[in-house]
Amino acid sequence: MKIKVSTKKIANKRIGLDLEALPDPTGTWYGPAKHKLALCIGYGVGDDLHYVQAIDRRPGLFSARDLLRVREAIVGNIIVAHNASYDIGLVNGLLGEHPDLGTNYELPPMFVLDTMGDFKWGGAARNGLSERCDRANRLGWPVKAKIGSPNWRRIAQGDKIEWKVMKEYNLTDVECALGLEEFYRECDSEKTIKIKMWKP
Amino acid sequence: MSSDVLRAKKKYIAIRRAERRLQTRLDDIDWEFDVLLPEVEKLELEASEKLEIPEFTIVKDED
Repeated sequence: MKIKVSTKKIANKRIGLDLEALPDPTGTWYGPAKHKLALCIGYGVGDDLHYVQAIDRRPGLFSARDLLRVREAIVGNIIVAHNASYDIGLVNGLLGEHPDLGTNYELPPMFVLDTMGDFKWGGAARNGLSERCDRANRLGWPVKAKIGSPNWRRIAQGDKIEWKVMKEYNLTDVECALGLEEFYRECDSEKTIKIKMWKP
Repeated sequence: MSSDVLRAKKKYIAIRRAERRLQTRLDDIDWEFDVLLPEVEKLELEASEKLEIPEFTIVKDED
């Protein structure tokens, strides 16, 4: 008896994902209905970045076509995101509760590379997102970091100009996640992020 | 008398078997930490880098 070893592809490519949502008025960070506060979704890789946002800038209300585009782009690929299960869970919530889609379009289990999931606390100092980006940049790996933040109150009021800021903020985060993942994977002194499985 | 010998013999065998099992288990733990876990870690990291995982199939020897 012998053991034959072959390889199996688990994803076609890495794809960045970031979903922005309004802070939950109940004060919980990630409540069961948080997707109802979703504002926009950025996704893609390299120069092929895409952005969809809520219809008429109303939180939680997305067109079915936009959501299906997101779904098509991410299924079969490996998701790269900061706190990936949060973003995927919210995308899944939007798909599952969309009146034109129903549960048929809920996401299958997905592979993720979470840029914030592992080694979040580095010793005594907090090892948050900006610290990680700083470290990558100090070691010569240019990682585009989030700068500032939109005015969430104006966003909630549907302010058009603020929503343009939101788009840039969101897509910068997609690039940031991809850059950080590459830094961890390619830089010898860093710890590679392990693949995890997200399940609905 | 003979039952006392049998009892002692059984206890001796039980202790010796337990010692052997304990030693094997302790050796297994060392092997898991020193050999197996690094191999599994390597597998996980390679999966992250190459986006592929190994598949294992048992095949019969061709005689």
